[in-house]
Amino acid sequence: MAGYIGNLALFFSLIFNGFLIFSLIREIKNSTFKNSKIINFFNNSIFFLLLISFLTLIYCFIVSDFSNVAVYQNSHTTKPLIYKISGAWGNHEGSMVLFILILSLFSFVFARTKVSEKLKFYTVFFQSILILIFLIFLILTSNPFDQMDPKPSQGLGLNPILQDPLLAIHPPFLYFGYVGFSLVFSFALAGLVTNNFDKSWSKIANFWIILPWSLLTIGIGLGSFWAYYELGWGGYWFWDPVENASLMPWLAATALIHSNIVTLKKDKLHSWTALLSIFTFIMSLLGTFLVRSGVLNSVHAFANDPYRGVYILSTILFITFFSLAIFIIKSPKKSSYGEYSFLQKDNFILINNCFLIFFLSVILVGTVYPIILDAISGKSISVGPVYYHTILAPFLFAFLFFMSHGPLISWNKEDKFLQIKNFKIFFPISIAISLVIIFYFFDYKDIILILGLLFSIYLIVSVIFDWISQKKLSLNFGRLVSHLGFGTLIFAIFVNAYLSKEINAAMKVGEEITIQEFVIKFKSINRIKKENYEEVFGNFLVTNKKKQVELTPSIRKYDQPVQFTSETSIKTNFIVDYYFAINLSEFEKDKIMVRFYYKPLMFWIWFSILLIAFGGIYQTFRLRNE
Amino acid sequence: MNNKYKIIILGITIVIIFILFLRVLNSDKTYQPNQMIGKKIPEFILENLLNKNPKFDSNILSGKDFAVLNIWASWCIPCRIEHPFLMDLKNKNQIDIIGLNYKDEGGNAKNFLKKYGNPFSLIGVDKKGEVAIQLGAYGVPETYVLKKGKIIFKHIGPLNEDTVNKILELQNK
Amino acid sequence: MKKYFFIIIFFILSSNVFSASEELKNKIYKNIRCIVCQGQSIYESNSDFAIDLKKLISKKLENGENEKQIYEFLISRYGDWIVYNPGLNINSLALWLLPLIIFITGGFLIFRLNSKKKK
Repeated sequence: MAGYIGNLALFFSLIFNGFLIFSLIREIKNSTFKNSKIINFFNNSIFFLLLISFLTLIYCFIVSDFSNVAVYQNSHTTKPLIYKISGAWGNHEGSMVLFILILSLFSFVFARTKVSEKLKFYTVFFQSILILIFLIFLILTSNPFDQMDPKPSQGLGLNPILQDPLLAIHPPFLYFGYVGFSLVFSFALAGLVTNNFDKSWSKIANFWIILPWSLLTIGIGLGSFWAYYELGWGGYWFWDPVENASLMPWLAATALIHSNIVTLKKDKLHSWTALLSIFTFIMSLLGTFLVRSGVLNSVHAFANDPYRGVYILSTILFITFFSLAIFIIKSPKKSSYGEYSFLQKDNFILINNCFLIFFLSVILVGTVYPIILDAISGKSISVGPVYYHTILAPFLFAFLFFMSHGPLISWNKEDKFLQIKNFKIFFPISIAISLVIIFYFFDYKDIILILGLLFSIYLIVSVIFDWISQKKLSLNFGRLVSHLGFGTLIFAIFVNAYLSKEINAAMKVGEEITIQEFVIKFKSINRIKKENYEEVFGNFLVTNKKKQVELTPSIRKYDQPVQFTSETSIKTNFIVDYYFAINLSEFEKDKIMVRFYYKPLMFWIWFSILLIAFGGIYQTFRLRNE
Repeated sequence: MNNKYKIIILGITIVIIFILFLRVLNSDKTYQPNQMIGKKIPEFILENLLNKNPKFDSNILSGKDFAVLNIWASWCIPCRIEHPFLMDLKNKNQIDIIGLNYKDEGGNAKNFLKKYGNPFSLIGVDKKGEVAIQLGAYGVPETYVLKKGKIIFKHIGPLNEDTVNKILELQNK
Repeated sequence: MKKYFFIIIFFILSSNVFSASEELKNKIYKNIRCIVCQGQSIYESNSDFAIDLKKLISKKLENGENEKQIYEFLISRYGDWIVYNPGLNINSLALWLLPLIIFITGGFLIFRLNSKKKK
């Protein structure tokens, strides 16, 4: 029953969407931009219909309605309630409903804000075309309300790894992020088509860029955090194509935030800002395609279905072609160039935009090139961390340098002396701090580490300096917090990369080993039996000089289907994480494979990501209240 | 540059991208490394599954003008599915087929052959799978075509009509 | 000026390299793709193939083979795809060049903008 309502709601939203587009076209043809009552009615209705559709899908999952194919494939009666609910969006079909719902949500909210009627109409127009395209795709190829007969008594979806709180909320954050960029995409097309791409456009767009960006930041952080404690190898970022797919829109959006500020403050860079607005959403679409089409070989790509892949590919290329065509035809001819002196803020922003696009292209090439090479020549190469680290590191240092000075340079005056004065303050302090840290804490040092610490500290020092010299803190608080977060993030990543230690061994109960400065004692084992699994805990004591840490990693054996998982044990504080995982041994039946990781500053990596996001959220609230 | 030209270039680029990715979507996902084609098989000696002698010696394989080397195991289901093709190759086409028994129990392997037939003229026991790695294999079943010990063809996965025809073609060259 | 020179030399000389064999082994494991798995290295995988390779590599290291030899052995049997680090060869040329070309293009455009004379 619920399934029928949901399906009906989908169809009606499609029909209403058609009507909406029709009315909008009529208004546009007549160049009257009144009649907003009808437009609003359709726009609002579509949102509520989609919301109903989504909620009924969730309901089907909650009551385990296995006549629904999606529920059958992804759920199970013994799943805890939260995971039944999150299962609704954890599969391809359900997540596409969420995708479209968010497209509609942003349109719904945008239509209620204060924007000129003309711009509003066009924005809603483009947004509804997006909704139309994806609705058609959904109904034709991925309808979450597909039924099956006879109704099975039990579902298939009981993968324990997927039953995790973080994994449950990670998709919504990601979606609010990169689907959210659709709004500024449509708004940009609207601005281009109506020749209204200017300062006032930027003022409005600001909110619609920074809000999704902040949420995407959190989404990426959540995914990374989940990978850290769940996968059991002590890592948090693997340059996995699906991870890269979320990072690319983030980089484009970061560039867009800053480019938009230049357009806002100096009425320059219109074309570039417009192009970035379009490009960011195209990156989101690219990510969608990569993850769902079966083109990738990844630990967490969705169920691979090439048939679906062709549909998504066509959709995305269609949207890409038309949006870029509009950009080419209607690109703002107004002097988007103006003058650029080297030591001016707009120039520094432009320079760092160049860096950000470079970072994006590295990740794009690294992810897509192997696929293309394979398709053309049949040769396969692998792109791993070494590639990314090697090519990104030197540019990252320069990027940090420009990021440190940029905020302190004026928009208009070219004050060389002020900048040299700043440099003379920052550089000695940063060098001094870096030297102390390096010589006190690090045995192994190389030039990359030194530069990494130096430039991240340089950024942090410059932010502190900037912070202290603020007359009205609230004005720039968002930027300061986000920039500070970025500095601490890079710092923590470098320290963690060079100071992490790992120990692999096979141990018997009661055994004690000493490796480097760690003494690991395998004290005991205990077993527990739960409803759907048995768990064996290993009790370990790790002694590091005077410090003692107790850790209890475990192995779980699920019965339906039979599956073994390894649960990590992590003790964390502000300085370091002690991380432990165990596996059954293939060959020595009385021993257990033991993995111990010493991971400094992990807390700061997560906290930094939160800082970055928080700065953005603060800013969006400030903008809303203006 | 005229807007029209820019749009045309954009259109062409999009079409190229479309065709490229279409090829990717339709391509065979199993990795078929062909590094070993043209190379001589490495040297190895293994126990013979059925008899004490002769040992499963790479020199013996190198002496054969034309032979098919099949990596199999009793626990491998696709091996069971491809087995009739191997029997046909031996009985109808008189092809010399060598078997490499991969990570298997001797008893189980012998039972498999008793039940489904033995197409192999010689079977080596690769208990640890080390020789398979030497050959660049990574699972079962995999089939090689050897000409005097040189690898001229490799197929990953169970045999089918197409690959059998390919093998027969190669024999006639 | 001399001061800075010494500091730099000091930095370079004080760098040293861990050659503990455990670290090297793990480093190699993390760099070899498990080709029967979905996007995992043999370090992270417990599949049969991954375990076999780990044993093989371990033995090779004990026999005194170095990292390069081990990669060569594996690439000669399984192709470039099995090693995560794309060395500099004809296939990976575009990988290194494309982003750099984009960066240089961007830098060039900005440079031109900067050198536009004031009217």
